[in-house]
Amino acid sequence: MMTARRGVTRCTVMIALLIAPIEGQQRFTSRAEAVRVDVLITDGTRRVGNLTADDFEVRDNGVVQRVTQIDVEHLMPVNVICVFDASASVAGARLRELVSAGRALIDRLRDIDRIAVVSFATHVGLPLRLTTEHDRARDAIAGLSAAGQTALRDATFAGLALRDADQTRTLLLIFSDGDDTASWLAAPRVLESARRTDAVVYAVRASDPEAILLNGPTFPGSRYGQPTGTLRPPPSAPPDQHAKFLDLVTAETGGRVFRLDTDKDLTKAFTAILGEFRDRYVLSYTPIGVDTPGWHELSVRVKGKSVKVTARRGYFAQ
Amino acid sequence: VIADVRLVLVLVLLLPAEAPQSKPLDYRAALEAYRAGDTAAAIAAVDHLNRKQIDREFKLLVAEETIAKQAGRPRVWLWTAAMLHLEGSLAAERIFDRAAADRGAVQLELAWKFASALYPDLRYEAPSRRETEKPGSDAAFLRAWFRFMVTHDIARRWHNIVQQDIDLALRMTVGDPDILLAQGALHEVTWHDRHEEGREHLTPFPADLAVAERALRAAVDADPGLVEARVRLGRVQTMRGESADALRTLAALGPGTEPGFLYLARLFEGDVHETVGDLAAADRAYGEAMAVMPAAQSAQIARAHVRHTAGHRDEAIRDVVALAQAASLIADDDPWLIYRHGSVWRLAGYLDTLRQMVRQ
Repeated sequence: MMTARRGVTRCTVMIALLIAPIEGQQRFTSRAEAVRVDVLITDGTRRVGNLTADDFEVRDNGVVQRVTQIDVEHLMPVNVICVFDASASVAGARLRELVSAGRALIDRLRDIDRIAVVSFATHVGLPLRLTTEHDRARDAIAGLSAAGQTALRDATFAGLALRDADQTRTLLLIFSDGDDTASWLAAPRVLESARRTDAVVYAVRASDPEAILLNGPTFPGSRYGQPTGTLRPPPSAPPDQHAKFLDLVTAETGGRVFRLDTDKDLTKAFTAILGEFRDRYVLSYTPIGVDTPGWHELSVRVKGKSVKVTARRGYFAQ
Repeated sequence: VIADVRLVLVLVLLLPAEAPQSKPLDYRAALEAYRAGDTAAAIAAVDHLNRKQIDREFKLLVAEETIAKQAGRPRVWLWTAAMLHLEGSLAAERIFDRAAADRGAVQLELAWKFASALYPDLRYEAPSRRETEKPGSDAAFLRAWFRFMVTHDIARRWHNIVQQDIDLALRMTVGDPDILLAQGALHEVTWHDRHEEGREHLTPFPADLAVAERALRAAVDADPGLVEARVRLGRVQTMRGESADALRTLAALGPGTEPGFLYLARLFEGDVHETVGDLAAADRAYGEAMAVMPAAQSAQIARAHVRHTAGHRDEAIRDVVALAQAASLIADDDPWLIYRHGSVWRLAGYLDTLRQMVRQ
């Protein structure tokens, strides 16, 4: 089997083998050196369908490439790596909603799809490695308990690293409601890891209940005045500023952040993300004229159409 | 905001409560109970008093203790009152609701009110270093008081007031190494919050790594055995881009160093190597940290990351799987989790010193 890759973003011959049975469709001509780009095309709200390879223009470090389009939703399996916040702020009703949303997500997976569960609080946990045994995934999510701090960035990296256990197209689904309080890895290092994988990262960000609890005390006229560390951001601060990491890591990989006003929307968000992920086009091309190792800037556009294109910003070639 | 809540958890873990009891006492009896070691009864008593009653007690106590001072005696009852209200504040921190937080804030204010009565004169007439080290003196109590309070307030992210307290404490204690360490930690921790955690909006304090480095060097000079100051100095040098200096500082901490600090030294060393692109050296340093404290996750995740970056993906996956298997361990197995809040691990010792001084 040919397994050579250009970094982790290069697809393997396995993909070609999976695609081979598709009859009568111009889909995918893969070589081991092919680069795979996961792209979401919408008219602003809804997916734009029926596009072919000829509709796309992909530039790799500014050089136009010849694209082969593949629509994977029917035959290609997907990996879903759930990275779930199990810190103290999730305890109670929010955890119950998370378990319920996780079950709904699993219910929508096909038998060929695989799932893993990474949990994080003060530490990163791995209740379940990638598997097609969906019942075990239900058990793993039902078994989550919430306590401790929030190691969001470390857990995100762990999820990205697990992606390399298998070259199947991968969705990294992060759920969190709080600021990172425990990670070792700084944001730039995790973003660098995100650039080195082809996983698409989506995040669901719930509101932060503890911010309300600690919106005080204030000690007017006292020695301490208003202790800076116990107050919510001032009204002039951009909303949800401390969620910047999620914005960055999703944008880097071509995903996006869903922000929830209520936990009741968690199931809807998870299923919408899975649906959106399946609705994406996967473009493939063999790079020509851009053989240099290192970071390759990607740009994707749809010729002659006014549409919104969401794709990763580039990839690393080794 | 959440960091603050969870930090309180850390503080609570590190500051064990004393056994609860309850019997109503008047203020003076409460002070005596506290000196005798019955903290819970003493706290319960002052909880029932209103601000006006305590203000009256304050005036009486200050007057009485002025006589003690004129007679050359330490003002132990002022210490006791300050400590009792501090204990009340710490007890409230263990309860996670708004009312408790407000009660704790009031008690903290009162604690400072009594402690401040000890130093208006010292503030302008700084004691000698010898005086601060004289057992049982007001100056020695104040040194212990400021050591605890600035460390506590750094952990709570009360940056602006801490800076004022540190300035005052450095004058009073004539460059106490622990206060210098706190000054270095204040600037380091705040800089990390602002620039690495993106919390500029919560942290208006203008952290300055040059100030941190100067303070930590001074702390090391004043007390060469203060290992934490060396570790923080190495970290600050890393943050300032002084990689060669950082490696020299950290490499000086070898076998024989307390495991928690040895772990941090190797972890930070790995970070320096990774920053300058020497991934093999970073891998080795993180591995050495793991050997010191196998249950701590930060070095494991650091090594997994460096392996991922180096393209050793299978090894990175193995590290991630291994670290997740150790995830049932409790939070303070990893010194990094404490380190980022300042010198929190010193709080229990400082508090113990204060209690002993009051109860002798």
